[in-house]
Amino acid sequence: MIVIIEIKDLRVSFHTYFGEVQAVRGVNLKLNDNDTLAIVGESGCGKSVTALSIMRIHNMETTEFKSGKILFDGTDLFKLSEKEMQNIRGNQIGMIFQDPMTALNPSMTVGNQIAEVLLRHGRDANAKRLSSKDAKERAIELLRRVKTPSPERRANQFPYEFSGGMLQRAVIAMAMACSPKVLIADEPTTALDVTVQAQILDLIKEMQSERRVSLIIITHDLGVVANIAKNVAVMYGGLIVESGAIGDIFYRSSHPYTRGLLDSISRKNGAKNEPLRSIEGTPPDLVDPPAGCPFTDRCEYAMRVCKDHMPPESALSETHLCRCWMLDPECPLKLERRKL
Amino acid sequence: MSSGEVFINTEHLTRDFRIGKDTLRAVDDVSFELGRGETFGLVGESGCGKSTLGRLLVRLYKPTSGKILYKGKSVANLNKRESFEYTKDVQMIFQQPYASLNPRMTIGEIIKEGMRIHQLGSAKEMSERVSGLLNMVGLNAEHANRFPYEFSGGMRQRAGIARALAVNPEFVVCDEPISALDVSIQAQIINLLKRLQSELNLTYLFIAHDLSTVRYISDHIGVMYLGSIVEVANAEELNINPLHPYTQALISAAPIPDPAKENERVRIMLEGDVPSPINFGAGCKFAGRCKFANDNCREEAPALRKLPSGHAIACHRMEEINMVE
Repeated sequence: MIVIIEIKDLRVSFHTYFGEVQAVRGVNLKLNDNDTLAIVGESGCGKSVTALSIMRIHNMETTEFKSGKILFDGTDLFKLSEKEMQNIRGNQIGMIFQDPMTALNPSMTVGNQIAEVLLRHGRDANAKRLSSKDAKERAIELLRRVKTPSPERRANQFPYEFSGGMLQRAVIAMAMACSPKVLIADEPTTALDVTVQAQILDLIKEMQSERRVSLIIITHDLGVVANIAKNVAVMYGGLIVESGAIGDIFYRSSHPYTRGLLDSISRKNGAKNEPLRSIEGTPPDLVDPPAGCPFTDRCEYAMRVCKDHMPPESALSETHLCRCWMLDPECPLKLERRKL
Repeated sequence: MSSGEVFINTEHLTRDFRIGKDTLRAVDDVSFELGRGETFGLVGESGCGKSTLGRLLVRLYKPTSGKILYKGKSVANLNKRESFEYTKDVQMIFQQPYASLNPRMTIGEIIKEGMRIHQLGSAKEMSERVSGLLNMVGLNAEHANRFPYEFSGGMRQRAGIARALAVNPEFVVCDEPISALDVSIQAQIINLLKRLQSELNLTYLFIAHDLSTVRYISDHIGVMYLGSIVEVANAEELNINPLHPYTQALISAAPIPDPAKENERVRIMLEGDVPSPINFGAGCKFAGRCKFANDNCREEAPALRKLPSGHAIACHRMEEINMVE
């Protein structure tokens, strides 16, 4: 398997009024060619920061990359100049943002916004830059490809004339315009209604298999993960606490946080008058993150060692990694197997 | 649980908004009833009028036509004193815990405001009640002196619940109270709302866009589409045996957090988006996206009719559709 993106020991901090927020605290990730990796976690766990680091689109006045590297096809993205990076963004790595209403320029027609990407990066059959006429034609073609009705008319309209679902299609068209190798989708369906979400997820999957693009999808919705992902990384408190193939996470999860997340959404079989299983408490403050496992305060299994010492990553199988002291061979506690 | 009496009900409730020359009918001829101590879940996609309906019930909006009956009495005919009483009895929990708490007031002041207006006790009694309420919703008494910005989303929502309960309401409209919260926090808030309901014998209208949550908390569920209720049923019944093609699509569209089941099942895909509710013509509003729609559907709007099973549905072709499946 070819590894297309490899993140090694990524640490990212933001300097804020309250102090240094350690948003990502040592993340290792691999994305294989033609793979779909879902990064799951709650708000503030560092999932978006990790993915946006690949694109290097943070506000550099407040962001500090403390350590680590991101290899894209063998190239270390942190070593590239801004100019070189611009040739990768939108060209080799595409991005779909959460809220299509704010991701597009409100004062530019949708067609022109898609054409802009093509004018900047696109080449014709003779490796020549595209003329604006060709770019516009390709933009319309892309709108048609993402199933926009009457694309010629739509291309000349402004974002406010589109519905949320149609806009997200336009954003997907834009991200796919230069046939990137990697597509990063940051909560692509969170702002959409369920019936539209189903359409958009289908479209992303279709585009992915058609153009053989590797996908990183960031989401907090385990239903979306189940629908689209092949591999999953669960983040909590700036760390990946568990990662593995989709079956490892859904059927063999070994971290109490992953288990808690799965439990709190399994409303299907629960008896009606029984309270839902919830995870009490709130995520840790990353200005002053705990020295040990970040989940300690909310974990029903927490031991003394958890508070002060960071659990090592244990390999449960070739694909399945988990950070929990309960996996230590000397630990007498075992994660209770609950039926979902 | 329900004592059988009708606590609050609406009759042909309609609300229009003027948009320039056009009319947007946000709530269209909605009739439903709710027994004391019950939870009625209201689901639908954005723009279906579910929040408008909730706001009509707390009288944030006036109905264009139709009426709301509270304990059998029309809300529009209440005198001044009864109206004032109604604002105490009926409270609302808002969707956005960030936008619904005044940033310049402390949590204590926010909770106290309603009590002060309704003159529920002396200053000392009110302060004591604030501490009691904060404890009841899982916060600490000392949080009363903090400002909303110091709180996380889940804590703010708890404060919003304490605010709504401060005046001893009987009926609470919960307008998507958990959709702005993280998954692990959502379960906490749902458990809290359920516990408070049984302790205080509250009646809830629970508005959401997600059927799985509503199913857990509700006794009955109504599904709304473009201002109309298209199906009403007992919560379990609706999930197991949805009869309206829109409800069927809605249930089918929600992803199941289980990869094996998710891959196996066949989805009913709806084409396109929810159409605009402005100047809607005659006929069933779902006809444009419904694969079963015929000419009759496009010409005549179906009325909500009750089936012997207690299920109510607004669909001309219900019998044929559900025979096929």
